[in-house]
Amino acid sequence: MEASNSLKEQPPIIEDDDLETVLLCQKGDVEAFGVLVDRHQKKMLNVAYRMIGDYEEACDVVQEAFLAAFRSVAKFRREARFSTWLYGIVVNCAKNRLIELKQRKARVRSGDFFPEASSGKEGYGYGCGCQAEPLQEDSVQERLEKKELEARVQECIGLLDDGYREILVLRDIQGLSYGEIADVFKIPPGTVRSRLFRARNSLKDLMRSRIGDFS
Amino acid sequence: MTCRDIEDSLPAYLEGLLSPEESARVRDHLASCPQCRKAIADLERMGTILSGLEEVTPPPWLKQRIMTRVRDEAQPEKGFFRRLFSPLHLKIPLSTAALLILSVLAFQVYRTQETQFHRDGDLHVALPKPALERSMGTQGPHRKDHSRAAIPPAPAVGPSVPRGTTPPSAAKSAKSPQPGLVQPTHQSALRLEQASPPRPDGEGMRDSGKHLSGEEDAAKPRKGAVALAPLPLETLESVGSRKAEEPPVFAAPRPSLSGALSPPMARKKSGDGENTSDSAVTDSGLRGKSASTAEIISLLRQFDASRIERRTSGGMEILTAELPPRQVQALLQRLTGLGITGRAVSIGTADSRAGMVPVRIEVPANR
Repeated sequence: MEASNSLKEQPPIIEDDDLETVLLCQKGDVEAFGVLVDRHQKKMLNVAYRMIGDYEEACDVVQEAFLAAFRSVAKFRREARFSTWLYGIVVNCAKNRLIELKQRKARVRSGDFFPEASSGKEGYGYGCGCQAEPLQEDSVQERLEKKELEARVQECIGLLDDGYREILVLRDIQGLSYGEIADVFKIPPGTVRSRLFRARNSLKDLMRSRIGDFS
Repeated sequence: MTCRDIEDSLPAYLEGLLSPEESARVRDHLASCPQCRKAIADLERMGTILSGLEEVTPPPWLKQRIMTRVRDEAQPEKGFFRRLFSPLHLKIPLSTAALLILSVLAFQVYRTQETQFHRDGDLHVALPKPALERSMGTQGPHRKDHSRAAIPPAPAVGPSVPRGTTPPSAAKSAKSPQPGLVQPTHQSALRLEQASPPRPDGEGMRDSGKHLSGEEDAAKPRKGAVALAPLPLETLESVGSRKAEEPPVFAAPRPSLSGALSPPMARKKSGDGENTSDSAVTDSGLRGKSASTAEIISLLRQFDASRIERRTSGGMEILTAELPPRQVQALLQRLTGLGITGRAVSIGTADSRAGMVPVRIEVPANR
């Protein structure tokens, strides 16, 4: 009985490639944190970008998120993978930034939702300096059509309700498992699934209304 | 099941999360409903689009910026002593140094001002300490020697320092502006004194005046006696008769009746040959010259005056004498009682050796 209790108190052993580096960071090795930044900055930037729809803002959010992670890395108790923990920080920072941007836009002009204004164009190299990975095999026309479609999809993602958008991004774009998403948001996996399914149906309806027949 | 219910179940159906019964029901519906078939096709296409969304690449500066900020955050934890002595923390020593510099400057300015202060007040510093400053209240500093040599050109009325350079002691001591023989303001005395300029050779009144050796004792006035007001003009007889009838109007007893006489009374008395104690007066011309002057001389003797001298200048009788400091106050009160006030009376500074206070009294020669 005591043994079972002690096992319950022990954090679950989770395979994490970042564990060793995280331990170094917890011992005060600043440069080890640079390894983690190198390893996760792209995924975190994509999550932030898909949530916000603005490349520059996403970069800013990632900076803030990594800085927040560094400040609280000593509190990281390895109950989840470091990347999962980091996803949570990035999502929170992105949500906060979205609130700020909405308030800022509401002051400038009322009625427009922020992602509509940005239209995701900036994130796809429409003059914002975004460095999208080139698709060598597509023709120029196909690439333009694809970028146009992705911009509209990004616009629709931005129109999703809070609570749906980040789950859809983490699952359908970043490919996290339900368990990881449940760890990020600290909600049951069943809740993750139900929210995800609603998010997908909502996005499908939005894409139908905004893009038309995309199938 | 309606199409809406089927559409809600489509994501779970695509992921294979429905039970076999629910999956069979959805499959049957899809077979007969083109709208729901379109919906599930859109979902599949959307999934493909989402998973195929182009990834954005972080800019090269992103990691540098992150690590710069991270290092800045980590910096305070590393170098505690470095923080203490870093240039950013120099503001405390700098402020202290600035305070010290200001203090030194302020002290230097104060010293400079103090030197100037003393320089302006050199005359006062060189002067002996006023003997009667406390007892007189309105008296200023006095010279040790009441001779003319120590008195400025207009000793009875003029300031000892040039106008416009008022010494600080004068500013501090209310209404005691001049050193030397400081006298209360009295216009007539001023006018008369100006009419009899001091001797340029510095010799005092003792040389030109009459030296009176008034050593004989007279009835000493009670110390601290105060004459409330000058006596009214009365004749000696009336005073004598009144004295026999009424108590004296003085608050304090007087050394003698003559001391209480008003100037007219003194004149009348002097004319009657009252001046009988002039044997000690070195100046024979004094005798019988002025009854009032003789009365004052008598008064001076009563107050233990010594070196009584007398001279006439510009229609003024000038009497000088030396008094024990304890008698000065009483003498002044008596003189006030005789109507001799203001600039007519000058009190000098006590001689530090003999402890005597020079007194100078001016009265009109026809008094």
